[in-house]
Amino acid sequence: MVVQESLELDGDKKIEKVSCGGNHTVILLQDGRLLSSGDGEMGQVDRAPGLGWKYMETGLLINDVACGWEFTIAIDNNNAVFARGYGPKGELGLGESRVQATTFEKIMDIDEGFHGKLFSSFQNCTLLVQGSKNGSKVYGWGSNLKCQLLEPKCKSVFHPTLIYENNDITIDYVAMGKDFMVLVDIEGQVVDVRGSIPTDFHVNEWKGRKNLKVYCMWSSIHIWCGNKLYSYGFGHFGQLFDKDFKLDNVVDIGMGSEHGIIVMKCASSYKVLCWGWGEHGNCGSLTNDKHKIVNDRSNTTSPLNEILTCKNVPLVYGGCATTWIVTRD
Amino acid sequence: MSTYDDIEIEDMTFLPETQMFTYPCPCGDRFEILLEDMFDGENIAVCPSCSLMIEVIFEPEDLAEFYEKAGLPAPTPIAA
Repeated sequence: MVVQESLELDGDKKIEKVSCGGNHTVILLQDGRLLSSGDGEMGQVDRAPGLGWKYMETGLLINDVACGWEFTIAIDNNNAVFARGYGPKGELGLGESRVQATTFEKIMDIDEGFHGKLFSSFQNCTLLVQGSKNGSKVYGWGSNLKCQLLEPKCKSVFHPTLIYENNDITIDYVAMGKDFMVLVDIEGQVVDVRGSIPTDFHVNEWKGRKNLKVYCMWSSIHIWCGNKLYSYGFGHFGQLFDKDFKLDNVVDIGMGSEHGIIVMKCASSYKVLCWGWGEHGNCGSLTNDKHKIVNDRSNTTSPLNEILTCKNVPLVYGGCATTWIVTRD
Repeated sequence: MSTYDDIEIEDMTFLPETQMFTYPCPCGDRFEILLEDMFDGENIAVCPSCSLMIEVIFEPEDLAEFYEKAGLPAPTPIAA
């Protein structure tokens, strides 16, 4: 399967982030607008006739966005947090009586002077709030059947709930899988793990180690340490990375639901390679047919497979059996 | 046979109108299994859009409440 061009933007429109839900994808532009494609049936994006990318009519200037299974969450330039779509397990954070919204509805405000970052996977959301000095807070909402947010176990957390607070440690990001999450601080240390973490992952082996980068598929944790990527969790479909592969020339990594993406510098260009569960063509083809645009099922279980070469470093993102590459050539 | 994951019945969504349990699949579609098939001993939910399957973890007595939700009488082995 050959990579297809999905969207071409004028040079002045820069892509800040691509976030993927179950069947919808949202692009955040640096000017605060959102482009969306895919399923809007539950209000996760605007319902619009036809296929393709469309600007979302939000009336907001967006600073951050994240998509989950059937919902989208966002922070605007006034530090307000919004949600839309369908969230029967509390994914909208709007309360037990509001599990569907067809436009962005405000969940909460972030205090002035604080910086918010959103993360989401499957049926969970987290909001990281960083101050101007050390310390941070993490709020969570959505499914809590695996205690992925907090203890004790409960079916749903319907409002943003403080799940982590520390006045000294500044969390940098939350890496989220289907039923678990990993909190990583600005020094690249694993600070906390929650939920049903892969049984072969032992957090004590990683605590105290710095300069780690942590990524999650739905059912696995991947830690970039030095020139290796260490994988834990489900590997029935090749999701666990090749232990012998050295990441010396790797400049970026992205994760989809059950596949991974790496960007590697090779001489004067960059190569994008995928591995893992590639049943829908999301890891490209192993047959090297440069004309075929329909998935040939050559790599349902894919070894690391080159899918694109770019002149400039691309951005890479993964969704549910989808791979998104932002080229800047 | 290798399944993608083992999922407890409480993690699945029950649709009373079709008497079906669903659970999100990493391809974007949903795994499906019918209540009636589970009563008959089936525990594998399949995705209509890909090759992945999940094993549903449940006890036969767990099914009674879902017959009730669907407005159907529970079959005798459960009801008893």
